[in-house]
Amino acid sequence: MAPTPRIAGSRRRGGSQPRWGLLVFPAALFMVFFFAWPLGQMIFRSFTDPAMGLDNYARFVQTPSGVRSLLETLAMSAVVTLTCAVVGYVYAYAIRFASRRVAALLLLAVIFPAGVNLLVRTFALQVVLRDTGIINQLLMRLHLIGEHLTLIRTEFAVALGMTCMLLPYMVLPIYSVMRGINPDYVQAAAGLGARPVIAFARVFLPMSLPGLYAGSLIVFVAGLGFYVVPQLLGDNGGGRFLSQYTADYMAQAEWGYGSAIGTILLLVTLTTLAIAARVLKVGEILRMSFGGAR
Amino acid sequence: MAFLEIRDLTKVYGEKVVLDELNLSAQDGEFISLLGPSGCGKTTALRLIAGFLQPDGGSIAVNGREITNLPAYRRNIGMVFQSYALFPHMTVGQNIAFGLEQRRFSRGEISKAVDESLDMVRLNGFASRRPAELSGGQQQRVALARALVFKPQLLLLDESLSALDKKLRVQMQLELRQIQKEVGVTAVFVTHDHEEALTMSDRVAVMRNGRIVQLDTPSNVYRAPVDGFVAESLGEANFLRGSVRSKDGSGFVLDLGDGLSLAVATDRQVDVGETCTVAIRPEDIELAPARSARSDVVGHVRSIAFAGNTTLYVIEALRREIRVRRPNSAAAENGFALDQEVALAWNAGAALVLSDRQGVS
Repeated sequence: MAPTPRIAGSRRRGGSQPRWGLLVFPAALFMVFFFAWPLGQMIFRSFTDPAMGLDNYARFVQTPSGVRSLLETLAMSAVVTLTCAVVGYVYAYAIRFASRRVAALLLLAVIFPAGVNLLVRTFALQVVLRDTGIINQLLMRLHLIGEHLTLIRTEFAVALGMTCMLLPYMVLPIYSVMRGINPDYVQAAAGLGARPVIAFARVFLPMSLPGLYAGSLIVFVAGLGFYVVPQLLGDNGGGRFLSQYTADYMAQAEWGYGSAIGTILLLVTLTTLAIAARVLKVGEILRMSFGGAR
Repeated sequence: MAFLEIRDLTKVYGEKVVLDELNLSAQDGEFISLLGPSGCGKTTALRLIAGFLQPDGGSIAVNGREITNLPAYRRNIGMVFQSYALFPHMTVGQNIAFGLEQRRFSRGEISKAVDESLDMVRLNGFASRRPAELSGGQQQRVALARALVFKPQLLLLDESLSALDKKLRVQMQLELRQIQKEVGVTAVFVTHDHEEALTMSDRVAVMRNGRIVQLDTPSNVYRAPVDGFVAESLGEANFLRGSVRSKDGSGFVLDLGDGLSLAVATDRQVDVGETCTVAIRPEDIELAPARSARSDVVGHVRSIAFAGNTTLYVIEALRREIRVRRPNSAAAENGFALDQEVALAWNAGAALVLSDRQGVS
């Protein structure tokens, strides 16, 4: 058994009650059984099933569809991060400077859908985007198009769907950081002679960047693991997402190869986080977005 | 025409009139304080001058030019915020340079001006530091340098010293005033601290309910307040209210009710029968052992609070509590004891006779 874990904070406060650290134990136990154990199993299998060695990884590197799926996953996640960043920033800005009532409404509109099942929302998007869906019907009624547009089963549909699902995770950190920016700063810039556009670009935007970085990180990493949206909205005859690719092989009981792909996805995610931690000082950013900036 | 000319400035939020036809004028180079309790409109007035708010009426002119409808970024007014609002993502040098960059100064001019203004606030060598690395007093100086570097027509200070601890605040008061004099910029300073207003200003504007109640030199607002509100705004005071029973050449007799009366020496003209309030500052009252003194006002010491350089006595006299503050020094011990009978006396000029239209209840 490990010695009693001690929390740094409790020690700083005089170390009178180090037993508080024990409270982390149930959660830690849960994580070990339901998270670390299966993850370890997956990594272990990728090196041992069907035979010891790097065969599964060699196979992935040598399979063009596998590598292509990895690259497509990264590209799609990047595109979605970008669209979420643009839309999310504007949206968060609108919430920040709207009247109290409108702000509450806008905030609700972004949080509420996040509470609805992802599958349900994806089916809903299917209804909207399909050939006889409301977009096509509307455009045809207005005689803007003669024949229906192919919206569903395209990369566009996947990007749109993922943007919809991930937008809240972009908006909330940005909004949180923006709310922490004292209006005095922008007024100070104006008082020093900066036009509104300059005051925004040189003072407000740089001060709100931590939120944008935090949101981008969350969206990019979450986007890498998306399965349902590409499955239901994507062109399944064409490229497959890495998560889909994994599932394909798992379904064929190719546990070793499937695990190897899963491990690669995990590695990509961890690499992203490591780079972000290095470049963006993630700890500080997360503290600012969720701990309430000054 | 005065350098800063504010006429009938009005600001309304919903039903609440925050500024009610405020009039104020300041001479070139003058240092004016707006003093008042929170909610009196002083900060609103400052933000209207800066252009961060739009007035609902009235006009503001600086140096003969009307600026009422100019946006803040075209007003050429320097402001020091209570929070300082130093841009945290910029260095001290970049913060100070910001205003000059907006005015399209050349790079050489900017670096020269930044150096000079850092010199002025005694922060040479701090240009590459971040605001977060500075102490409160240093941040205050950077904020001042940033507000003055582009040679604004007007300097606005919004409770700028209130975030500092007391000792540093007193030091900064003197430093700020000295720099303002050197630069020769006209300054409007908002504060709720009467000592600060009295120490720093050429003139103090005492505000209440969106209006200026009295605008005068520090000694005049302190020594000749127009009413009880002003008297109380500028320091402690004992208020005695009553009606004038009789008068003669040297003063009058105030009837305090309950058969009590008080002889007031003043040259202020009052009418017999008029009700008025007399204010006496605690430091103006002298105490003496009752038997040795020739005073009509006698009372008992009810509490004693030692405060270092002074001692505050609460004396029960004239059927009320009268606060008396006596200086302490090694030479003069204030040796009065609890419940001791003492006589109260004050000089002729100490009794401030206030018009009773806005007397303190």
